[in-house]
Amino acid sequence: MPSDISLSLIVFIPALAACLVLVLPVRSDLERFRVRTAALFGTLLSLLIAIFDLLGEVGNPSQGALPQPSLDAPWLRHFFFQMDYHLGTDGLNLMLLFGVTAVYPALVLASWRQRERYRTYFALLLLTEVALTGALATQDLLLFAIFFALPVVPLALLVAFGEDGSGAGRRVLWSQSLSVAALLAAILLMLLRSGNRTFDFLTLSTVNPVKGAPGLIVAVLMLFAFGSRMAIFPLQRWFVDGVSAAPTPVGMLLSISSLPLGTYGMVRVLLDMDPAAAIQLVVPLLALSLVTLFWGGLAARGSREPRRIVAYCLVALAGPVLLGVAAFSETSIAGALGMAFAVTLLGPLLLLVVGAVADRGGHERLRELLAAGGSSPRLQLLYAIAAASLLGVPFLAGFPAMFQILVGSFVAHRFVTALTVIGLLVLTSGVWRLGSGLFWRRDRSAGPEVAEVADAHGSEFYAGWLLAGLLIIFGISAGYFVPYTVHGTDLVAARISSYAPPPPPAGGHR
Amino acid sequence: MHLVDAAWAVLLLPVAGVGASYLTETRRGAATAVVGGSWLTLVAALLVLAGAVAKSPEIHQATVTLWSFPVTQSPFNAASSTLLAANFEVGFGYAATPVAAALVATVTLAVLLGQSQIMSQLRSDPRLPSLMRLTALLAFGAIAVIMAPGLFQVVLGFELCGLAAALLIGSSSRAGTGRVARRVYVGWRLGALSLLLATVFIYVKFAGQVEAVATSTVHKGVTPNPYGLNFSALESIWAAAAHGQVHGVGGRTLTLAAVLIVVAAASACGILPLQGLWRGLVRAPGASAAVVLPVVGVAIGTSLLAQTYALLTVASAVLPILTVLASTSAVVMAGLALRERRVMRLAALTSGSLASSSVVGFGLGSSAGGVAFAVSGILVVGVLAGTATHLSRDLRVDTLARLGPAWRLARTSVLLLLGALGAAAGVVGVGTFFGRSAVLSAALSGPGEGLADPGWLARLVGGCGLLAAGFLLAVTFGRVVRAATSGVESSDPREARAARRHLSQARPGNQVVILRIGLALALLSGLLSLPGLHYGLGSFLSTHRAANALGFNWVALGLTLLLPLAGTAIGFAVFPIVDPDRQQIRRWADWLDGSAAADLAERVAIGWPGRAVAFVTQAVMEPLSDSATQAITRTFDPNWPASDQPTSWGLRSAAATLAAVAIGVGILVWVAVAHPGGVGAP
Repeated sequence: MPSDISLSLIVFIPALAACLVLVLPVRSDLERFRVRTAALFGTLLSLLIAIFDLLGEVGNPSQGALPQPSLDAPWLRHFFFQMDYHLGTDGLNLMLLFGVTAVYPALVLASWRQRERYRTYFALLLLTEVALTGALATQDLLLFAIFFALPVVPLALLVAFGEDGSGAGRRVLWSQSLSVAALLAAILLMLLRSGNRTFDFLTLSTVNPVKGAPGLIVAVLMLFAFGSRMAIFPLQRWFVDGVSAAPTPVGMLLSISSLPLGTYGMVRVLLDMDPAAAIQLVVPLLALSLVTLFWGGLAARGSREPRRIVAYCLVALAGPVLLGVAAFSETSIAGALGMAFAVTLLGPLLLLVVGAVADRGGHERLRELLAAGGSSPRLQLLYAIAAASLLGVPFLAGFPAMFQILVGSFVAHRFVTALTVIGLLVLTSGVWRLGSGLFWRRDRSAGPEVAEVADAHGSEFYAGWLLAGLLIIFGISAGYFVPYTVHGTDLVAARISSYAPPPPPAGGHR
Repeated sequence: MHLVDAAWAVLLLPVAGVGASYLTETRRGAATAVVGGSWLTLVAALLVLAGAVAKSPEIHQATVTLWSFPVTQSPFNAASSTLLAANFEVGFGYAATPVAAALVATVTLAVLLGQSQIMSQLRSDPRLPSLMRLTALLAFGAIAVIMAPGLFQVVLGFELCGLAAALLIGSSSRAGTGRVARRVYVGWRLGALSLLLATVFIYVKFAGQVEAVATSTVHKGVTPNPYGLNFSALESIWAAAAHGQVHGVGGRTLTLAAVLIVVAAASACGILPLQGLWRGLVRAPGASAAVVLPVVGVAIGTSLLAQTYALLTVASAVLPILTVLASTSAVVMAGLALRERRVMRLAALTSGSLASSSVVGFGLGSSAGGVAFAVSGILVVGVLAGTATHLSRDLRVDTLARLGPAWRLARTSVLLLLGALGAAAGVVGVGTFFGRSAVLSAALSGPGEGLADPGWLARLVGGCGLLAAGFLLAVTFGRVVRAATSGVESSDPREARAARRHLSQARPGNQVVILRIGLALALLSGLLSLPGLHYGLGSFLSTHRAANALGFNWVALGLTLLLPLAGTAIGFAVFPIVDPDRQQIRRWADWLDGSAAADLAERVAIGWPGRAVAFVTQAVMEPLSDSATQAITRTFDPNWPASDQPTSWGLRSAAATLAAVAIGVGILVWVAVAHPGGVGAP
């Protein structure tokens, strides 16, 4: 298999699987099983190729600097801009690409008991994989925008499939359409002001960016576009409502469509394409980082529905990620991307476990689900792994990312970093409240009796262990993957450094 | 190959035990695998101790790099004085210092005894495998902290210990467990995040200097230490920074780093105002409290203070503050123990007082004294918690009032409790006696030549606090002796009969044997220490080379001998026999022991703002957002189905889908034909 088409295969095999799913009959259980299996094989095939790519490239960290394997074919050249079919992986996107392809088999497994709208459901699910992997694999800004826009309608439809999901689906559609519109506006403005015809990432990261007010407007539009996708404060509602109203697998899907893709866009497009304006936005970025972290953490502590608590916890994680982005160092940006990767795994796992308890318990409020998972040791263990990873406990995927964010950010923003650490304590309280409520609290005097739910088994158990296993593997072997990411972020940090003001003089900090 | 290379085994065998437990098919098999791992760990730890003694004062260490990557860009917004390391390197390994070797042998012994008791006590409990695995993970975290060659590994172990302890507490089936586990974890996490911030701070401030020193020593034929968070590398830099010889680093930096470390140690040792830890730790199910209390409550904080002691000594005002806080905690906890009637809480409060007394040693400048106290304290706390859980769980003797009947029907168990309390009070040369004497010597005659002196006021406060805490613990011991030997039963005949039935029907298994061994070791730890002092144990445990940090002061020795005796006599003679029929309802004690205060702090600082945020979200933000969405929807209505109407997938939808797919396929065909390279075709 020539390596230069491997990324095309990763991106488009799910599309083929979606087409196959749409034409298969679903009249009997056996036929429905075939539909599920087709979807599963489509996602597994993508994952298999992604594993080969990952292992082939990460072994040589210096390869993280430039896109590999690169496929650059001219495409639209007859307009006032050039759009190429350019796919490639580097330190910025390889881990995220792998993470997304690894989650999809778990999503299909978690959807194993899907009963309604069979073909549509799996086809839309696979279509979102095309969109997410395409957005992560592409090296062309316009192609990125297309893939960025592609999952909006499928996501909205999938969310609308849930009970009371109509309003949440509508919200997903409008908020993310606005996000896409902002990105397109930013790209158009950049195109008109910079005079560049090409949208190749590599080229755009070496030419002079748009200067002055237009550059700032471009940066603000991008911040809105990617911030909305990341669900940062105050643009988090589409995500929170979507997660709480959608079926559990769709909530898992939302969690990998939001923060990971938004973070990647923030680093790849905002920092790399518009560094001068990004530096001007450092104070708003830091403010948003703190407000998002504290708002998310406190809302998680104050919310009464388990799914909302998880959603707010994931919102809160966008705070440290923004801090890592706003510190502009290779270490902190690598940490931000690492956290995005960790969220790709831990977000779906948390929602899988909490959704399993809520679905089987038949209630939506934490008070009505007290100790519902008390007799489910597998669910308890999976929750503990996901929650510990979210909190940055060592030997799990969240820790290396959090450590890098803090180390990289402390040099640039000491007080904000210290406040972020306090915010993590707030988040700890929220996460622990959910866990103790669902799994440990035996004191039923505070609420009505709830039947204890059955433990994870079958496809749900395999999906959970796939995600939990990856969290552990990447937590323990972080040293093997981190240098590759850092080599990718090195170029971004170098570009920012070239536009950064001179460092403040010494003194007063002893 | 040297004996200390067994440190790798010490580090990894607990995890290997956990792994092996998953290969077994029965609960007992899983527990046996974990205990087997602990046995091997203990053997390896003793080898390390022997190797450290043989090699002393030379310190052997080894590190495996976990992450390493070059940092090439100058940091954004950094002061020009900031010197970052050119390579980001963190590792995992061991440093076989004498302190680490002594502490790790003690901890592995305490863990092994605790696990053996769990295995005996909870042999038919379905939670047995998970509890054993959690205790092994706890041991792994603690050993990682104790053996850490650098601050990064301390962070790893510290976090892991907190999580394992909270999960253990959460495994309890008692009411309100979730709340207690959350309180413990949030308190511990406060320390962990403080430690994390300290690590980041120290890395940013000192890693560059460490690397510069390492680079310069390469030319002199010395193997460089590239790890910016390595303790031995940092110690010399900290000393130089204290003398103003490190560019960009001054007293404020050192003090700030030290304060962050002290916060972490305070949360680990349950020092004021974080003393609520102890009431939480004791909620661990069954005999797992015998592992959790000594390891989490005593060993981690002590080890952290010993490792970072060089920083604490050069940071101004940190040691006196530590002394005041620790001695106050020791007195408060001992005072609360004196009034306590419940056996488990008594064990928790006594343990808290011991841990705080150990920290007083560090505050007074005698780190060797603190470590010596901690070594005895770990064993004493382990056996005290184990005995308390044995009494309250197996014999239903959960209050002091029930010790009376137990004295007649289960005298061995009661004697074990009395022995553990006597060892805690350091009566007549046993248990913590030696450590208490050493710390008191530091208070009376100073910590020793070349060591940091916290000042006369701190020494006065620390010395008085230590004496008062020891005295109060001895009074408690006397009071418990009286309660037990009086043999008074409940006046309610049914209750008295039930108590006798429980006592006569109890099947403690081999718990008593395990506890006897533990108690013997705990008692001897004090007696053996005296000749140890003569043969240079102080120098061995001292962080200051070639100095006997355990000062020998006759006044201190006399006071440590006489005061506990006097306290025991007073406790026995003055305090009335505990009334079995009187219930203890003292809400003020919940505030003093920190549990109620911790709950309130969490509720006020996080819970209420959380509710406010939830209210604002529902009352303000969501209506605003709804209005905006409705406005947009009215403008571009896509004829979305109403919420009460099921979404259908009819003929028109199918036609639209087919059209969309056709357009998509058409675009793909066009792209493939026009630009075959774009789809990978030749």
